[in-house]
Amino acid sequence: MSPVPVAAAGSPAAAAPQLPGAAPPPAPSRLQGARQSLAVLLPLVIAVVVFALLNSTFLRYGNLTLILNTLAFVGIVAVGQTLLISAGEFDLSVGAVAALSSYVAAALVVREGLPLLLGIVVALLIGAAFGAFNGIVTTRLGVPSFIVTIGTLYIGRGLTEYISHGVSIYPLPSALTDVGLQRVASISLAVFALLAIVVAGELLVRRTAFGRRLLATGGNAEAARVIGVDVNRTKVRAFMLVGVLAAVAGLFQIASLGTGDPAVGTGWELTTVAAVVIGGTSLFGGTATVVGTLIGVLTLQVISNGIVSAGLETNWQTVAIGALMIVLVAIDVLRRKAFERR
Amino acid sequence: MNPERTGAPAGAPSAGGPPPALELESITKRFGGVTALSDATVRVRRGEVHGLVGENGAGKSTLLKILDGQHPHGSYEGVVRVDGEVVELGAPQDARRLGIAIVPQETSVVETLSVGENICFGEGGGPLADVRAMERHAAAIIERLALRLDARTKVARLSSSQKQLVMIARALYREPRVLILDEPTSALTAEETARLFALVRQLRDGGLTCIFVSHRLDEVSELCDRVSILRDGRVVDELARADFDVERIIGSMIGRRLTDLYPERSGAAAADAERPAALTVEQLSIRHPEHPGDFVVRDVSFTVAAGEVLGVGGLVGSGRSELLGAIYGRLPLAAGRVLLDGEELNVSSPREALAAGIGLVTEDRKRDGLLFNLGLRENVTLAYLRSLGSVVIDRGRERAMAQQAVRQFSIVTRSVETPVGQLSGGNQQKVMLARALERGPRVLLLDEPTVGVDVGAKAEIYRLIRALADAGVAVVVVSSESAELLGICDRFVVLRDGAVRDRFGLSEASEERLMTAAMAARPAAPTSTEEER
Repeated sequence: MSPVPVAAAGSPAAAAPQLPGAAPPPAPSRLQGARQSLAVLLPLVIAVVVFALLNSTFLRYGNLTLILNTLAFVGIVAVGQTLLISAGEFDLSVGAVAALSSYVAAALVVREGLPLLLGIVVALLIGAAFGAFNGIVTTRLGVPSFIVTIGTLYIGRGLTEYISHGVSIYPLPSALTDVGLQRVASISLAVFALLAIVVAGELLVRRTAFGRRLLATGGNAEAARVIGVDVNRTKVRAFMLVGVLAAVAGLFQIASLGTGDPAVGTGWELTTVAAVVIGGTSLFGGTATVVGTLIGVLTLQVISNGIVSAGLETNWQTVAIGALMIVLVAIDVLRRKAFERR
Repeated sequence: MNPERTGAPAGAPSAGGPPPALELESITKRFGGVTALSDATVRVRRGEVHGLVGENGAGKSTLLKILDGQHPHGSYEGVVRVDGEVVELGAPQDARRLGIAIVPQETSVVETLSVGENICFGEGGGPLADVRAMERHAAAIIERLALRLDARTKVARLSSSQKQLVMIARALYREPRVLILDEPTSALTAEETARLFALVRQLRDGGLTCIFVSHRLDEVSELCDRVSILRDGRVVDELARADFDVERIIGSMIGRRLTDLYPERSGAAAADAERPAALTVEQLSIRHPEHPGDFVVRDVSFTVAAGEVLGVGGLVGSGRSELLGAIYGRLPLAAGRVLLDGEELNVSSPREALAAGIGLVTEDRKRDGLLFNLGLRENVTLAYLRSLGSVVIDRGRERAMAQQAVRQFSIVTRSVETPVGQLSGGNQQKVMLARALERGPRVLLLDEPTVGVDVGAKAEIYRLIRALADAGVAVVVVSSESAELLGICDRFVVLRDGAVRDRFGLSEASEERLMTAAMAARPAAPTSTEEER
């Protein structure tokens, strides 16, 4: 038998000669990436199919837009949470920050008669300030962000209670509520804002120097420092970004409710972390997929909407979300192990 | 002459003699499309120390994992025999039962437990852990092995070399018939290495069979009775002690005769003492991180001229890495100053050091070297993202920058997008070099630049270091390998216990002088003590 040089010349296997000691490692497989995004979509697809079978009204346009309009607020925060988790930290104060900043804005505008724009600026500054505080305490004092942000969760909620005494502020200026009630093909402006923020977030991760520093910091902070990344500053900025996005989400939420409500953002801290994980961003830092997080938020909202519309006990949604999170993180950990073993 | 043909595997079972203690026959192991082992046969005689050498990726680890049952029987072709009997190792427990103990390259001790508990961990004793009994048993084995350890010390308080000794004691506690040591000396000082070797010889004379895997050929020649050489998954040569020849071993490992591992010195750099210093370190001291009032580096002064390679010798823990860390802004100076081109340098972070024109390649790629979550491209360009756009990264220019580095440093990779974890050790090291040089530094600090790197890549890295010096970079190299320092450096400073003990030029340099300065009058490892008992 003679070797067949001509026929094989074009194939990549033949193009790479077997040099002793210099065999290149296998290329990263695109298939692997595709399989991963499939794994992220799978729970969503299953949930949609199951609920569509259980309830014929589930797939109606009105219900689908309801799902979107409901998830927009927490989705905006989840984008920020994704970036922060990619840098190896979390923020559990997001819901409290959303409540405090939006309530203060409403109070300033409605009770004190300040211009709406000023109220919005103050809300964003509160968000940034909480973020800066979380970031600085975490990086400079070395207190784990898990603890710091539980602390600021309490502080934010406490301050909101102190200012509000549990009373909602009503009515908000029509300039604000108009934005909240405006619909394009039954879809709220908050959804469009979310989409814009998702695109911006994804570009930030993939294309900007800041995004690269986030991933470096989350991947190995000590190595990043040696390469000249200011790890602390990177983290503080990520915390501030999350704080500002929490304020933005809070403002959209009160605009859509039509009232300054101290209960805004309840449970967002866990929903956003769950969405990030379900979306395929590793809880251990160093990776980020903002689009994945959007799918994660969608999955969670489909499950809670589906359980309600199927007439099931609503508490099951909490159980389902908890179970889903554990399963998906377990898959993430197993995948990591499989990768390390190779 | 082709070394491949010279040594037909000896030690085949002869009719009369006892069977080999361990026999791996015609082992072929594939991972997907990659063949890690190809018809590899290794025979280890009873009571010998058998060396296993080969470049990274030659198949040593795969062979060890098969012996340890981590690659279970059935996942490979071929036969494993222990004392002549075919065995099927399905899991590490099977290997334990057959008396095969492995000391892995990376220590896996439980930091929060005592030395004794670590040594006896998982060994019988019913459901309740009797810590006292464990520590008693451990003390007995520590004494038998003449280790300087106290069974009651918490492992967290031990140095990395002491942890390595705990791992070895743990393996020997099970009284194995075959002991496998995978790169056991990488964390050990020269003195501890010598003690370990004495211990291995003593155990061998008592009938223990030992497999010794190491990159350090001097150690292999010193300790082993026979050596098998792997290349590309094949056993290409097997030598008995009488035939040991480092050049032949290296030749077999890389498939060609290595004429010279070290590059030619240009000569001019070494001779010209008149040249102004690029880097000057004056009476530098660094505080000990844990013992206030104590110093890890004391009053160290030296200069390095542009185009010169300064070698910093000394044992692990002599303050070498801290010295580099302080120059690079990772550690604060307690006293002294650092000058770059005659001007005082005041850097308090690696960022500022990089901006000032200093580059560092750290010792440990995993701990603080590379970003394993990112690809080659991102790792190379991270140090100099600013040159690729102030906010948005110019992707075309970034790719070009990475491709340029791949060419310049001859990094073997399929593409610039390959995750760095998939590169071999030598190529990972080249990525770190490329990155440290991305901003064109005046001074390059290298901490163990060839640790865990195979011989071929070593020669390339040495050539790169020399080329950099010739291009006018001032290079400081820290290394535990005296041969390496002597081969690539122009001038030498030796540290011991944080202070300079000797300094000399190339003409006066020798391994003896380096080692003497590094080790003379070194106090015993600070652990504990027979008096306590």
